[in-house]
Amino acid sequence: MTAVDRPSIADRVYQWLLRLFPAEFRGDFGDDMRADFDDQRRDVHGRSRAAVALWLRTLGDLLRRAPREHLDVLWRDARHGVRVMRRHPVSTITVIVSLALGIGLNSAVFSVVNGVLWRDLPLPESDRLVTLNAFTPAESSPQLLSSSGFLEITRRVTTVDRVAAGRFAPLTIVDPIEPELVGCFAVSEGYFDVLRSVPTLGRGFTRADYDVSIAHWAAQPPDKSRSNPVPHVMILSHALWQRQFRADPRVIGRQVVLTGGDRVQIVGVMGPELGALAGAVFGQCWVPEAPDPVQTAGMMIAIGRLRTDTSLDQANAELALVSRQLPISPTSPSADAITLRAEPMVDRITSRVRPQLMFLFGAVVCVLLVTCANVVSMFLAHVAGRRDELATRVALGASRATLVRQTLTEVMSIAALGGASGFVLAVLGVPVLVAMAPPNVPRLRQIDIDWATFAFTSIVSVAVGLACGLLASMPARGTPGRLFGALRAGAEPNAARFRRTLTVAEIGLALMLVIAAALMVRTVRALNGIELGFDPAHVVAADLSTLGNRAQQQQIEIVERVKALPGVRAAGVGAGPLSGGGMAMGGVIVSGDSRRFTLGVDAVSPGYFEALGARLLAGRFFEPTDTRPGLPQMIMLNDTAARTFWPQASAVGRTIFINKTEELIVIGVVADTRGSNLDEDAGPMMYQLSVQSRNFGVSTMLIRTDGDPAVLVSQIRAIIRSLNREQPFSGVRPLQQRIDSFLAPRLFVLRLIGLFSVLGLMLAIVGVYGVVAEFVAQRVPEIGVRMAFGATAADVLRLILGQGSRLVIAGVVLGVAGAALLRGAMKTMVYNVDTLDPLTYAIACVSLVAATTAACLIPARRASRLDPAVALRE
Amino acid sequence: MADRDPADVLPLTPALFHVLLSLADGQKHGYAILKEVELRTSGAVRLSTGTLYGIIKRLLADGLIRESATGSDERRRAYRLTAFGRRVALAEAERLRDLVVAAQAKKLLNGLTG
Repeated sequence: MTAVDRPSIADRVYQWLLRLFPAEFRGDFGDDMRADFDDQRRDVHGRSRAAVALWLRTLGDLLRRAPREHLDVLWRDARHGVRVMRRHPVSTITVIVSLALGIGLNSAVFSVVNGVLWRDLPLPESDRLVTLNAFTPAESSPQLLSSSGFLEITRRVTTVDRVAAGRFAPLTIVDPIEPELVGCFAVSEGYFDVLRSVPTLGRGFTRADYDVSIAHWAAQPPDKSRSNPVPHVMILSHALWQRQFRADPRVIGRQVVLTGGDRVQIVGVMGPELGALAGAVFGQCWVPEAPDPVQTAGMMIAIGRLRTDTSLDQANAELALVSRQLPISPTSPSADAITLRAEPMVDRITSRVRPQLMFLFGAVVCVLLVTCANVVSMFLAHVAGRRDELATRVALGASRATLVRQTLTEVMSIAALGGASGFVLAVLGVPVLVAMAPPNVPRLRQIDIDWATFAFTSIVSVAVGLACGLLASMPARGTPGRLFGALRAGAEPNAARFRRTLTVAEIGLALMLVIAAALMVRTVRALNGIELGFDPAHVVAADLSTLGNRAQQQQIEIVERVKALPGVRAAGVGAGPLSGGGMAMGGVIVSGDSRRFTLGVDAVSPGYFEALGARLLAGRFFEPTDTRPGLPQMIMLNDTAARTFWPQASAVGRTIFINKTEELIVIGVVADTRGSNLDEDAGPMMYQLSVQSRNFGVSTMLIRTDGDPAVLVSQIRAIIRSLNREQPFSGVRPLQQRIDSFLAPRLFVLRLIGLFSVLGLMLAIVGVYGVVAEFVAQRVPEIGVRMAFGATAADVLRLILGQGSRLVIAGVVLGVAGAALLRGAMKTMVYNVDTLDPLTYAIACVSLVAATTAACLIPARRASRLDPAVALRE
Repeated sequence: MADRDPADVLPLTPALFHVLLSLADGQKHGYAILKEVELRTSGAVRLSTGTLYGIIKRLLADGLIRESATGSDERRRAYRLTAFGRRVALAEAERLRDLVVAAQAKKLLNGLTG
């Protein structure tokens, strides 16, 4: 037996190592290499050190060389791909552009979603930061904790390292800065320790800072008249410090003056990283305030840091126990069955926008899928067009693997080009998205194109390239013989059927996007059509909350002077609408009715309803003469309240009682007006005269004008300023702006989903057109025969349209089913529209069918105009 | 092929030039090339089979060498320079000579003739 007949171990090892090389290289040179290595080994035979050296050298060489050979193959395939692309520039550019759009939109939306929802908070070990939330069975959103409830919880929780809480306590700073209503957070001791954040300037709060509020609570009577302590020191946020104090490091130790003259000393400035908390647990400034041990009304958000040896689940198991041990409800006395839960802080910050963003992300993935289907479909058409070339190459010995690899490389390089352009598009698009986004989206300013976006773009590009490449190379599978036969025969039933399937999927996905867009259009229309109960056009709203204790007298004076302005029709002061003012009052009873009612209450001045443009349904509005002292208590009711109390009769002139003591006479009924959440019903409301009620702390002056209200804004500001130097400048603006800001989130979703659906629709049109055009091209001779035998142009048109409509109908069925299945995703976004609304679905289907039929018409008309003589000759 | 300018493929990597050089005096198979290069450089340049056939592949693709019909046996193939390959080898040798001359002019290197 010779070595040639039976390979030695060394030869087998070498042969095995050769497998590192591409098959092609191995086929070309493998045997020669083995023979040469065999000779080399013979040279060193018997010299073990030289033999070891030879093996090591050869091994290193093979390991170094093999990857280069692979790259070489890849490079050659890519160049082949580029050559093919350059022969079909239009379709290549179409594919690259659609991929760039698909991938770019995904990357842009990803960077927003990632920046807002997923990225870590810029705080140390931020994954351990939690909010301690209380849930009632009825409400899905967390309830605010009472300070006494918070204290009870702190005493019992062990799994959370440190717990602190904050209460939103807005205050108006009037000096030394432009008067501004500042969103201040009154925080308990250790708040910044939980966040592990230290001031960049000055100091944090000390134990002594809290003594003031502890003493204050101790001195207060344990009833409703408890007042909040006045802060004496504060820490500024980085943003406020930059905006209002021009980043002056000398602010430390300076005093600011609040409305009412209270002075607060600035002791510190926090770093910019806390800006990421905006949206839930963040203030523009912070003041120290120990939790009130008596207060039982919910007003605090509790935060904590999980112990390093504790998981979120363990903490929640403990909190579930604590929930049951609490002697009082931690939210409000009336709430029952509270469950406490620790949730990642980032979730609390972003919970409001999560459904919208995830929906948009899903929609944009949908666009990408349509794009992919289109790309695969175009490549299949491409392969069909290159039948002769491929058949020749198969005949010349190109293996199936080579063809698959080449298609894959071709698609991958196109996907890479598309991905690169997509990334550029995302870089340009993200600032646009951020600018478009409603301002209430948290962490907007933290959004930028970062490594995560780049990685996402790369991964998506590779995934798209692989998926499309593998799908597009499917016709190249099967044995070479059959492949050759199929290629030569000219028809590829499998590929054609697969292309039609893709087109159906494309139409289905596009229809889902169109349906979502149509639902959003109807939602925005429904919101615009809400019966507000008032007329926001020509109305300016001016926040007068800073008037504080001098309110009554100054309000009257301001209203009188504003009324005197030319172009002003009416002016009045109230807590609502859209301002979030007012409160609820329980224990309301009506004579002859045993029930006790709870009413929303608002305190208004005469002229308020006229300025608001509310509709009077019965009785009269408040008159200036009603404000004289000594008159009986007069109220107006809204329609809901009037009909609740007296379903059959008029409410005017009747009396209601509060706590059986206060007696209130109804003088008029107004139509229901919407509150700050336009999509919520007003509920029963009563309106008192502000002179006859207690001060609500919040008051808004409404001014109805003849013309454009914007022109009066500066004059109104001037009047308010002249009487109240402390009026925040931002507090005067057209009422319509408040309504617009309410609509903004849905408009944002609508604009994006609209864009996505248009893109999806365009891609679907291209897809349908491609398939039908190919169908026509393949059947030119057949059509010729038909026409020669007397088929009319209309018959041909019908034949082709019939082909197209089959795809469209299948796609429509798929799309409707998909939309119906996924309708839950839209639940939080629609208003007054059923997510299965037949009319909306019908409109979406009709527009999709119209667009795709139009796409079929082009090749169909071409077919119907064929000259049979020419067609038959083909 | 005849119109191709050798300058297009210059400069060559040392290993590539060594392979061309060893084929300058006639056809050889892979093992013979390895041996010759090793001997000529007194063991300073030792090509391994992987590198060698990577070079051979490139030289074949660029048309600098081709398989020799007469030198190949059933065990392995032999290769020889093409006319273009010979011109490339010559051009590279001239390029290297010019460099040496330049180094001599700068007194960096002693003249070959002393």
